[in-house]
This record gives sequence, structure tokens and C-alpha cells, in this order.
Amino acid sequence: MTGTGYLTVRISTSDAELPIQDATVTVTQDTPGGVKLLAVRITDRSGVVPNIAIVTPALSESLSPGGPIPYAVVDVTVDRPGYDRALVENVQLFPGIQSQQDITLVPQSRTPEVFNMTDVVDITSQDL
Amino acid sequence: MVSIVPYIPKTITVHLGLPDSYAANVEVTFNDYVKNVASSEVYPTWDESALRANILAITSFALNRFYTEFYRSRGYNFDITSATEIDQKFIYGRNLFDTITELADSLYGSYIRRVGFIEPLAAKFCNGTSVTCAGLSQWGSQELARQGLSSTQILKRYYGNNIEIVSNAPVRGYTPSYPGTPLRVGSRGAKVLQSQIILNRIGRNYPAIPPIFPEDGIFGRQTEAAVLALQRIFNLTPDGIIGRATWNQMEQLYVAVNRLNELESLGQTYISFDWSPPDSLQTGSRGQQVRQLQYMLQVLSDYLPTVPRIGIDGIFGPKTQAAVIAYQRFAGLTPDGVVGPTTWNSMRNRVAGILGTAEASFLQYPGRPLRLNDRDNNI
Repeated sequence: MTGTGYLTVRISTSDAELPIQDATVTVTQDTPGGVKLLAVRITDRSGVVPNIAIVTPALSESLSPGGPIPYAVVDVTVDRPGYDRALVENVQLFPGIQSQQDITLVPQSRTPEVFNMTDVVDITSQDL
Repeated sequence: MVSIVPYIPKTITVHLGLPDSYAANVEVTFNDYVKNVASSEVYPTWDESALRANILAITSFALNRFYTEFYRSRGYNFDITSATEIDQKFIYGRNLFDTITELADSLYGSYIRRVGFIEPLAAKFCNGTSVTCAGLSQWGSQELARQGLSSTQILKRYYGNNIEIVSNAPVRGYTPSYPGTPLRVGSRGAKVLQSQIILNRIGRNYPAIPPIFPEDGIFGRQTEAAVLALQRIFNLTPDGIIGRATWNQMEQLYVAVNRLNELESLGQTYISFDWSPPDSLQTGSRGQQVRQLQYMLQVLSDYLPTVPRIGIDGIFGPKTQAAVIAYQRFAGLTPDGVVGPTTWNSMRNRVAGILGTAEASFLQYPGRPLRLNDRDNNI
């Protein structure tokens, strides 16, 4: 049995909350058969990609200790010309729960040597 | 400096590792810190009372570190670490869960303390299966929630019966405080006006939020449309009503967007107040200086439990007198209920310390220039 979780991604730049429109948000998942593409979306003028549905383990898995990992994990990549690429690894999704992933993009350096930088966040697992 | 009365700090600085390890410090708002830790420590699918209990424990633990200056007093330049063996788990940049976010917003300003003590409880916790400790068991809290216990009952089970939950602790360094009741279509007054100013300012960064014109202090359809747009962008329940969660979101955004253009004013005219001391204010006095006095007493009452909270009506009546006497007792002044230069200056210095910024005082003090369409019980 499985459930469904929902992922909303919000992209901005600087702590001052400037939303970034037209950023490409790619959601992938590592599976035994290789990397699986789940969604490619473009942010709206508020910098948001809402409600990407993702298959998760069943609800009962997270309600008692000792079982398998009770959530699904996906990787979220954000690309927008002029900014460093951002990658958030192991975003967690629980059944029936809306996961909100905020990502801050850093403007690209003007120095050619450091082009193609990726800012990586890795969300470590719950050890409950 | 350890403050007398605990308050919720605006931001908290987290060291992303063990105290002596080489790791970055990040500064986040206190509310975001709690949401992050709760999303990292427990499962968002748990029963509401279990999540509440855990959020209160997380908040109290962090406030205890902050209030006792656990790290700062040892020479470190941060308030807490992300190392789970000594503090609580914090993953910078992680995703947050809606159930946890909503509860953390509704519990903002609440923490646990022992009856008779003012410091936030150092509420230790551990998972209860692979690690057990004298504090709260995370899995145990979920089990108790399943049995129908409330969050307070769960907390008492682990921390003893002599605890109490403080709610609405003052938040330092923040701009306007939550009005106390939700604002909705038909609401009027200074808080509605503040909301309109804030929404219009946020709307300059977020064009999906339609502008409100004029900013008139009346919650109409335009204001509702702006609130709905904000709620949709930030994943809040889109009901068009400014409740605590929506207000907190507005407040945080307002602080954030205003950093960008410190040189640019809000386009709002300020009237300046004369804060020089009066000769004497006492029962029967009326007018602008009494309003200023009542405003100062209101601010002080948030921080001093012995000072009763009073309204601002510009009339020095028995309640104002009682608050003045309570303040004079606290400050070691002659408790005669008469406000002369000594009492006034003592209050003003404390209030200035609390508010910190001129902007905060503008936003909290209801005195402001009147304009067309103003409707408000302050007038």
C-alpha cells in the first residue's frame, strides 16, 4: 500500500524575498533502476511551483517505531540563467502532507573560472 | 546580558556542527528555526497533540539556551548548535511540512516553564527507542497522543506536574504584533491599516498580490484579494482572513523585504511626538501626553508581569493609575500614581530599550497622521 505526498517549491533570491519567475524546477528520484524523472516545471511570477504529487509509503509506516523508512525522498534541481544551479537532495515526502521546499538562488559570479557552480543542500535522514 | 523577562528573539544564530568544530553559523528567524527542528526531529503525520508537545519542547529548549546564554557566555558567537548529541537537529535549507508549520505558527510565543520560575524549561527529549533519557520520549509522545492525551498532559507526563505553558511571550525586535483576533472583511482600525501597508509593500516584490488603494483601515474586497494571493503563494489556508499564521508570514516578509531598500522610505509620513516629560500627569488628566503614557504602560506590561495591561484612550482613570503605581513599585520609585519627570523618564528609557527601532514605535503607537477616509476608534 502507498500514499501520496505533495511538494511545493518556492524560488527566490537574496534574503530580501525577491521571487524568481521562469526558473526550471526538476524533480528526480533515485530508484534501483536508475534516476527517474518525476516532474519538470517552470516557476510562476511568485517563484512557485505548487503541488507536485509524489508516491510515498503508507501512512501507517510513520506511526510506530521500527519499520522501514516511512517517507519518500526526491532531489530538486533549479536552473535559471544568471544564477548558480541549486540542488536539494533527499527532500522528504510523507503521505497526505504538503512539503514546502524554499530555495534561494545565488547570482552567478562574473568570473569565468567559477561558472557552472552548484549550491547543494543535502537533507540527512530522520533517525527516529 | 541576561534579560529579566524571557522574550522570543527575532532571530537565532545556529552553529552547523559541534561547538568547537569548524562549521558555518547561520542566522534564521526564531519561528523558522522551530519549524526546521520540528521537521527534522519528528514525523509530520503524527497526532496533533504529539506534534504540539514536541514543538513546545523544542521551543523551550532553544529559548533556554538563548535565555541562559549557554554558548555566548562561554565565548562562542552563536546561540545554539545543530549537533543532536547536545542540542537539537537543524538542517539548514531543508523542506518543511505543512502540519508542523501550521502548529508552530499557532504556538508562536508559547513555551514551557516550571511553576514559580521564569526561565524557559531546558526541555530535553530523545526518540525513546534507540535512545532514552530523563526528558520527553518522541515515540512515547505519539503513543500518549493516540491514547487521547492533550499536549499539556503529555508534557506533564515527562517533565512533571509542576510545569505550565506560557503563551504570547513578547517578541523582541519585531514589527507589529498580532492583533489578537483575526482580521476579516468588515474589520476596521489601525491593525487593518498596518496590514494594508504591509501587503502593499510585499506586493512590490510579489506582483501576484494585487495592490490595495486607498490604504484606509477598512478591510474590504481589495484587502481580501491581497490576503488570498499572499496565502496562495505561501501555502497558507486561502481563506482571506488574517489569522495568526498569515500575520506571522506577513510580518516576516515585511521585515525581509524592507532590508532591501533601507534608503527608501515606506512613503508613509510620520508625525513626531514630543517625548519630553510632563510637569505632572495624574487622575483626571487628559490628552496626547496621557495617550503616550498609556502606550508606554502597554509596552511595559508585555515585559513586566506586575504591570496590568491597559487600553489607550487619553484619559487618566483608575486603571491607568493602578498601572502607574505597579510600574513605580517595580522601578523602586515612590508609588504615588502621579507621573512627574522622574517616572516619565524612567518609563521612556525602558520603552526605548524594548522597542529598539523608531520604526517599531511608529507601527505600534496608534498615533498617526489622519487622512481622508480614516475610520477608527482612535479618532
